[in-house]
Amino acid sequence: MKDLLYLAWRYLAYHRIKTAVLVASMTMIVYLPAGLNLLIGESADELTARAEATPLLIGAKGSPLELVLNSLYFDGDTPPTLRYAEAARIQQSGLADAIPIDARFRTRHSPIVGTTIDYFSFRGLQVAEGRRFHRLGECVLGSRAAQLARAGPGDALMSKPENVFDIAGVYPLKMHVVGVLHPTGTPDDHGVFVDTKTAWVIEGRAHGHADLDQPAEQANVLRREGDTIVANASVIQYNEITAENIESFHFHGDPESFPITAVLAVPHDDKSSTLLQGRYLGDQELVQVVVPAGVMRELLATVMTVQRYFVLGGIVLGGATLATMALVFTLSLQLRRREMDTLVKIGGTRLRLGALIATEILSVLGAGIVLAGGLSLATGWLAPLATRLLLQLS
Amino acid sequence: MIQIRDLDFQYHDSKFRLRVPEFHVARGSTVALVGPSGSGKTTILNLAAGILVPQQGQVVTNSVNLTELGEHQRRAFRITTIGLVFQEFELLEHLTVFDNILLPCRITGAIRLTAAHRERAAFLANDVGLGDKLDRHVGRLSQGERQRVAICRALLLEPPLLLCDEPTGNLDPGNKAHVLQILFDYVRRHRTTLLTVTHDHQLLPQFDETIDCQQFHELREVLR
Repeated sequence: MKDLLYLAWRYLAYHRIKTAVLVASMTMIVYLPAGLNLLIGESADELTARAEATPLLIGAKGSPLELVLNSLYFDGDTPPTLRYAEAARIQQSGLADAIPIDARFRTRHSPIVGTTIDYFSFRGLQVAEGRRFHRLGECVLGSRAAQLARAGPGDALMSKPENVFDIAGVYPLKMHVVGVLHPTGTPDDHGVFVDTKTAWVIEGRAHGHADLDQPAEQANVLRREGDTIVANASVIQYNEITAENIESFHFHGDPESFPITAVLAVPHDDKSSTLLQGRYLGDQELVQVVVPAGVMRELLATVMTVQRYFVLGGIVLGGATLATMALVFTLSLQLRRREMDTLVKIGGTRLRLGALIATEILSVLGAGIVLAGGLSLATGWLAPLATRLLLQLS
Repeated sequence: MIQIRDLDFQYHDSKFRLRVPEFHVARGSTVALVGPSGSGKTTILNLAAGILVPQQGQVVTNSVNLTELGEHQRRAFRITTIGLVFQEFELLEHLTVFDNILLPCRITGAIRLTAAHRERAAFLANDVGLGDKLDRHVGRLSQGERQRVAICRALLLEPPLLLCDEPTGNLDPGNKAHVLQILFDYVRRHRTTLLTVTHDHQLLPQFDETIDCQQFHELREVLR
């Protein structure tokens, strides 16, 4: 057997281009359907796991898919917002714990997720370095977000301006990184977590500036209208929240009416879940409640249908390629007929020559299958990336 | 060494027919088979090697009656007893000189390739002036060099009988003389029997005996 393997190897190595083409063909035949199945399967598992770990999601009426993608995966378009008061309403109902989510803003690399400390407990997120956020302007980075920003505790991170051409718009906020989370293999790794109030500062609903009651600032005051002071644009606005200026930060308006993108509701039991869902069934209701697992199942059903067509196409293509490979082997055998006759004359049996040819063919097929296996493994590692792509496509 | 008696052979898919009443090659002799194309020279070599089996008659090679052996036994006999050299060399392009010489060990499955075989292959290659080309693919060799590789392959297992089918047919005069020299040197040193098909009548004086296959050919014509 060693001799046959050696002779087969010498033949394949000598005809390396032909061998490479055949191995590549075999790799593709196996990999395309298998890899696609694996990729979709892994991505589906990842998506489903995240959705199933989130009992209910409450958001403004609109696309349930958009709501789920934005609030669970921090991806896709921003859904319509709902009032922060909705979170309090759910909490006060006694049916569920409410965790607000505000995922409308980004840093250069990562989504900013405005939420509360409860989010960390709910998702089981552990701090690897530093601590959780305690104060306005502080942020905690997911592991991947920290890698992308090359930042850790003690560093600062800027929010991304919504419109760089709007000079009257809100300035980017310089956030202080106070912690980095352990990797979880979920979208949380990509998040920059801040307090909901910090998200409102980024939006411009809260801000800090020089005290206009101070004598030095009187020159900037244009007029006083009761409790309201109107000043000119030369008043210094802070784009970083520090121990010195934090007292100057204040909200304009009632925070209860401020926007968030969703409320993550964790019902105490099945009955509470049903009751809570029932509260949002009215036609006049401006808020919807969705079960993320159901929404993702619908999305995946569509993806799976497309996948089936791809796999079917792959199988047909694979069959055609296999037939071509068989033809190549047959023609090659005809070309080598004289070589085979010589081998018989010098003592080789037909059986042994058959074994030699079989070894050559099996080596090509085996190499193709091994390569396809390697590619499939690599595909498994790339599944999280594929999941993000899938989310963007949807 | 070879005795053929009352032989009648016909290919099943052709009208070719060969009748050999008596054919004898003495042990240790060098014999040339001559005759026009189609007179059955190569067929006689194949019969003597046990590659072909006659419909009638006897072929006794090295005291073994090949007509009484099955295919498997004839193959085993051929591996140990006969070295074959072909006009077209019949080397495997994808193998190196060294691997081509060792091919009988690798392809038969009956002989285990040992260090002694490797040593002998290297020795033979060196002996025919190919010692520095062992790792070269045979496609990169000249015609003369290729035939020398084919001779080394035939001699690897030290066969007592060497059957050559126009071994110099594809060679220029210089290489022709060189290859023949190698063959004769070897058979004389080892008292090996040499039966060679040749069209080149200038080479005949170097052989102990010449057998003209025309006689079998004429007989065949009469039979028609």
